[in-house]
Amino acid sequence: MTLRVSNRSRRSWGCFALFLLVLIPLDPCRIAAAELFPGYPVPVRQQAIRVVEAAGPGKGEALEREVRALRREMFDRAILSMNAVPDRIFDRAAREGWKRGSYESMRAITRVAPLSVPLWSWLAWQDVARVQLDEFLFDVKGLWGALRQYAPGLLGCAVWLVLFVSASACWFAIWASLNLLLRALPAMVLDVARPLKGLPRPEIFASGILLAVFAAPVAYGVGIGVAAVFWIVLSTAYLRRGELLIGGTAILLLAGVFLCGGFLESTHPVAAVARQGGWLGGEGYYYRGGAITGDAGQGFPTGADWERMARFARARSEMEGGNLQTAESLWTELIAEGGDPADALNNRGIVRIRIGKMAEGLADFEAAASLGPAAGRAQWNAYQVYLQEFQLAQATRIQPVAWAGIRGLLPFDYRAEEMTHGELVATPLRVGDVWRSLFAVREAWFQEARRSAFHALFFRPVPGDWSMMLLAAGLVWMLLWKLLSRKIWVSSVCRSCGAGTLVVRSREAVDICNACRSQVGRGIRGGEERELRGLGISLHRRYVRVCSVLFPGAGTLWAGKDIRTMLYGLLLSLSAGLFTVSWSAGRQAGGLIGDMQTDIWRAALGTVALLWLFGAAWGWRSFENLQLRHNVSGERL
Amino acid sequence: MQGKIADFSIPDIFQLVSSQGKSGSLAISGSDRVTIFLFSEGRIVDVQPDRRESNSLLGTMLRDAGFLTDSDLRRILTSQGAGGKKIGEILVEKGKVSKEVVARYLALQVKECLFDVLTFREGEYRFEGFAVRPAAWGGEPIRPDVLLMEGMQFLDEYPRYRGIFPAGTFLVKRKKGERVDPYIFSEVERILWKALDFSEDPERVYRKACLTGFEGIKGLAALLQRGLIEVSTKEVGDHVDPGKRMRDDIVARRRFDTIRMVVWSVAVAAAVVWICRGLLSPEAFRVFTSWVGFF
Repeated sequence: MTLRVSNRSRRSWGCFALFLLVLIPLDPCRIAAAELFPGYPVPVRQQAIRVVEAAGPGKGEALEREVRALRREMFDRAILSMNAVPDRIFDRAAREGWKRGSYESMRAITRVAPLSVPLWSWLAWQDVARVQLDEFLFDVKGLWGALRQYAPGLLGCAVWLVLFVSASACWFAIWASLNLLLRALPAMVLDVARPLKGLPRPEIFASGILLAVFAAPVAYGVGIGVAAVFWIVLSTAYLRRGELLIGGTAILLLAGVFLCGGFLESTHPVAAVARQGGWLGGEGYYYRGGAITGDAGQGFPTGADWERMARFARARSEMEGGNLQTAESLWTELIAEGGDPADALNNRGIVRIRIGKMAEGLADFEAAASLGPAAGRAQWNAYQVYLQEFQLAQATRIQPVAWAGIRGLLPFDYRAEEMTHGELVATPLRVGDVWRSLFAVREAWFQEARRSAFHALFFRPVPGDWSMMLLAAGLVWMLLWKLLSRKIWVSSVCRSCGAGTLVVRSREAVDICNACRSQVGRGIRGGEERELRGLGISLHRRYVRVCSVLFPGAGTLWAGKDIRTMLYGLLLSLSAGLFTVSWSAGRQAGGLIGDMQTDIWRAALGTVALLWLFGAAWGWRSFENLQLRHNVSGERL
Repeated sequence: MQGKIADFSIPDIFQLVSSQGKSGSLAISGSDRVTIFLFSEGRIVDVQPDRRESNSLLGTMLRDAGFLTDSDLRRILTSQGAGGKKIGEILVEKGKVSKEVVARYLALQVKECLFDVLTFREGEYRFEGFAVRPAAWGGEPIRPDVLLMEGMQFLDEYPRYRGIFPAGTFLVKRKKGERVDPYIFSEVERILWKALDFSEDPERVYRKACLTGFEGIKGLAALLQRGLIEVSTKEVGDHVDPGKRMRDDIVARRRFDTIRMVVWSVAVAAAVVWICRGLLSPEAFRVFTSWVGFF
């Protein structure tokens, strides 16, 4: 017999589902909190949700109230920073359209997310946009404090810096190689045309050959770095000393890019534990446990130090999660191991106080206070316990030190006068060692560079082992050509009028022809020669002008301003590098970082455009002045 | 003063005017053309060759020497018609040719015309006395007796040197691969050797070197004797107007340069796009955004 389900029954299920759909949004905290702030204890999550909901333009007092409540919850569980709070608020602001009005809310929540590097950076950026110097200095201090105490922030900034430098170096190499090639091109055409004298128009064939040679790396699909080295090497014989310096700098910067690839590759093992959810980022985002011992020992801070940091992070995680017995035993283990136990003593003291072991906890605080580093926090904690135990004489004795101690703990905005509920201050994971070892030159950089993403991007198809050899060969070739050009006759083109001559020895001595040196202009000969010289000058001027517009700085190279052009190229490349790194982040990252990077890439792009225009005008004018000096300008040819 | 050349030879006439320090014009006609020499205190300051003998005109000489193009010459002749100024004066005024160059070619013109009239066996002469002021742009007045000495040499030696070269029009050019020591050349040879780069037409070579036909052919004979030049006969129909050739060359070079620049611009722009795609590709994005994950 088939079980029949009546239509009425179906309707009742539908009504129930509808009821659930209506009911759930009425209490969003309970369900949404788990997704918004994963891992944290329920009261903390719920209060954090209230903070997110209280944020908004013109809601200063309400938000302040909720922030204070969240801080109390955080103090109860020794949580120092909830970096997810600003992210959630910003997401909401973006969704509801008050992103630009979120500045006050963001400033208010620095007290619950003091280790959020994006938050401090965003505030500093907004201060710059609003021209608020005092706030800017305060936010920079906060940013500096967060960087020093939040390892992922430290690593992220280091990686950003390396990527920014690498992108800038790449842009410089490209700019330099193309500019130098265009600078050498007229003389190169003359030289390639020399063996083709038998042909009717040898310069046409020479141009075709050079075009094919130029396009060969692009057609073959080699990496940008390899193409840049190829173009620099191609043009070496026709360059002046200052231009050779530009080419050499570009090759050295490419070597730097190669090593930066090694650095990035060597940070990969650390990245696994340092990102959100990893133990190294546990002070900003709740760490939900895991195989800490498996992670330990990888990356650059190896050995016992790394192991100890991992176990410290685990103990902090247990402490924040409310597993006080486990946390106490972990802290005890760390203290028993020796080393510098001040931080562990302070944190064990907090755990013991929470358990109810007041005397042991106080002893831990006093022991920690007697040791140097955590004295500020330990003094404060001891002061709080004295007050709770009514040991007022001791409390009065250490009050000034305790109050001053926590006031100087940047970026945590601790105010003793507000902390009247027995708030105890935990010691975060110390990440100074990570910073110290981050930029220490290690053999791994060279080894990892061969397998890095940069190698695949910029140095293909050269095998990893040969990349440095290629760059070194480029430099040696430049040196060799400089020596050989003292013996071999090659073409030289007058920078001023474009007249070609065969020369030997130093470029500097011959790159202005005799006619230009004597400033005869077009009057060196009359009639046909004058016409042909005029034509040469006209074509040369057109070539340099087009180069100046297409590649800013080209005109100044022709005008002989090598070093200043290099400095300009560096500035342009830095802007372009900033654009590259920020554009990719602005497009792919959301939240505070995405917003900030979007602003930055727009500013960087504007700077690039301005520098481009300036470079084009500067090159145009410099070349014009050079021609005026040599009396080959002024008349419309 | 006037008479027939057969009665009173041309050297005698020139010597008479020169020795008496006369000023005025001496018109010598013969072989269907008239040449007028202007004297100032017994020295030649200017000459007006017969218009029909265009090779002896100053503008043509300067054009053949490469100082003027055809269009330049046409423009100047047009402006000359309006103002009545002499071509040398206009050239100096407009800065097309320097005063020194005009003076050199004016002297050459006088020399050429004198050599030409010395060949007259029949004809007439007529001297009219009046004050002549040397032109400011015309250079130093020339002593006729010096020119007459050269003229006598020309009459004696020219046929011999001309006989070395093929009859009619011919072409000369440098021999390729010959090692040359410029220090063994005489002054004329050195100037000619340099001018041979300019053209293969001997007349234009002489003009370029600012030499008379006699001096030029003498120098060419010396170079030929040294084995440094090649002589070839000129085929009928070979002649191309040098001005037109140059204009065509200029147009072709401009066109080629424009095409080359466009092609190179496209190539470089394509390379830049390729580079930008390399640095801003999704693959590069993944690398360049790796820092975001840390925060």
